[in-house]
Amino acid sequence: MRNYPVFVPHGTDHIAAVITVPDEEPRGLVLLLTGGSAARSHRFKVWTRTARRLADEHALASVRMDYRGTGDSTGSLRQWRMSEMPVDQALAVLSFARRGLGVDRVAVAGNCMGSRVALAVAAEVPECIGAICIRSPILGPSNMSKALEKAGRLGVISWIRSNAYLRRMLVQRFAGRKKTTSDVRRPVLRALSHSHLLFLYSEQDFTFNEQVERELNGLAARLPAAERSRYELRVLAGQHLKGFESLDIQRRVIESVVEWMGARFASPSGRQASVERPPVTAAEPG
Amino acid sequence: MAIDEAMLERHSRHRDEALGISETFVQPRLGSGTTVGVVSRPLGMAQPLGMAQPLGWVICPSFAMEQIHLGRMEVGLARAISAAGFPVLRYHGQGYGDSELGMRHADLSSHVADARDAVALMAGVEGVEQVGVLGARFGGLVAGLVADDGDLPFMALVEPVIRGAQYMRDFLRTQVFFDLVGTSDNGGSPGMEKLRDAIASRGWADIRGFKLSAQAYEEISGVNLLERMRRFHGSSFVLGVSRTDRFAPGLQALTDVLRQMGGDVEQDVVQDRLASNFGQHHHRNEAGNKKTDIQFGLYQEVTSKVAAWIGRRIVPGDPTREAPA
Repeated sequence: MRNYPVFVPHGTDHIAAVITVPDEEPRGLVLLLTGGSAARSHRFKVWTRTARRLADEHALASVRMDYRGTGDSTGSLRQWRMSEMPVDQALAVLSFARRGLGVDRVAVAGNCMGSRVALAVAAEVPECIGAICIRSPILGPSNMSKALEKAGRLGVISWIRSNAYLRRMLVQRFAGRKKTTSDVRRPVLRALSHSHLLFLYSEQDFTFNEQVERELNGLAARLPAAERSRYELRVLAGQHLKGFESLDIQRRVIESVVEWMGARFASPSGRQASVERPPVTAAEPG
Repeated sequence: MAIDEAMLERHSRHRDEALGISETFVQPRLGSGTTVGVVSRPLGMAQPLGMAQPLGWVICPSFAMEQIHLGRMEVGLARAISAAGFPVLRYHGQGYGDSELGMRHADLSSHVADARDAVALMAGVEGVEQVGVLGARFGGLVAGLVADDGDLPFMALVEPVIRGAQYMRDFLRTQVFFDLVGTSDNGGSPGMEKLRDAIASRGWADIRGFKLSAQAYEEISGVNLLERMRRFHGSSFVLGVSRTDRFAPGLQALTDVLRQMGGDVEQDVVQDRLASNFGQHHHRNEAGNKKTDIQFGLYQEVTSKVAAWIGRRIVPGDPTREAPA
């Protein structure tokens, strides 16, 4: 296994990345994306450990990257916005690594906000055969929630909250009501036209609940059987995934990514390993 | 299809004309394993100038989650110091980032061994004659130990950890608080004693995802920077980070010790209302799906003060000549 740390030109910036390559010819390339502010190896080396196992166990190359303004990349970043996801940076790094390694088939895994970038990459790249979205925030605020948020900025919310009746009537009823936005629906449907898609959550993640499950399963249910079969939702039991704040969670996330990616690249076409089962929530035994 | 080694090698460096620096990835062996680091150089260093920049700097990274949270500030420091005329090496210590070894290998000995090897590596960079060290929080403690042991001429310590025992207590407490708020499935608060028992009986404890080894716990708990500084007589900069404009008593004691040993010491304070979170998580989720770095300004001020001290004290090209007052 070898590592190639590189600075990938991107506009006036340079995106820092490390490409990990197996000893044998790589069977494919996996792009590993962090959440908003973490550096390329991710907390507790989660992506570094994943990269080594992908290389050693499945002969897969991988590339992990620092978004602009993070890690060793150039630029500065005081504030992340979900509306300005660095998809172009991820595509630039993926394209660079593919050229450097001479591989066609790719897959992508991302955590938190990186999962939304991963989804966009999977939708954008026809050669992408698989994407893992870890702890993905897929629900956006409803119009009523947006109105309440705006009202909150004007100080109206604190007045409503101080009144028990109004609080019950308005805030609790509408503020939590969210739905998938077109930012999520479109790339999910587009990605599934050519790529497998795994949504990975913990049952304790605040980005996961019954509505998330309903929305995702509902999206997949609208698809033809072949595309629907590429969708999978997996819910880990126990502690939330945020921050990978336990050794056990780190182990289980790494295990899930390595095993799933290995299955995706198991056949020359990458199609053989599709999950031929209806979309279900499978809680992992504790 | 073959790997395009030449292309990958060509992109292991970049030039930043605006800042006047270049940066090169390196993969040295530091401590007990290989790792990844970056050497930042003033653009002049790329020219065959021989002895033009005889002083290089090494940034000593911090411990556990601090290594992650202070990482970006250290990148800014490396670039600012390099832009001021000095080559700088930053690296992932063993147990962190892209390094070869796992978390359980990260302890005080490994941090010091990594830093010593990094100093030796920087001393071997063409044109570098002497090496200074700098670090923040636990990295400041490591920088102090390495500067003292190696008779280095310069060190800059940012809010350094003075007493390892207190540092370890605070570190264990983060897990206790984590359990108290009910986010762990460990069945309630294990408390400090249970964590200490786990370290003693099992040889490690899971501190919010970091594998704290018994060796790390014992080594760090036993170190006191005031007692370990024995002979450093170079130039030092001790920068406090505080909610007030006052220098913390521990840091004052450190500067007193440094002066008693014959070194020249400059001290300063960065005042910030979030000073107590220095080295801790520094991103806040905000309405509208935004995440803000709430210590962005603090890190910039630290960087600015360290770079200014270096600019005041040292003439690029001759570390024996101090800048005119």
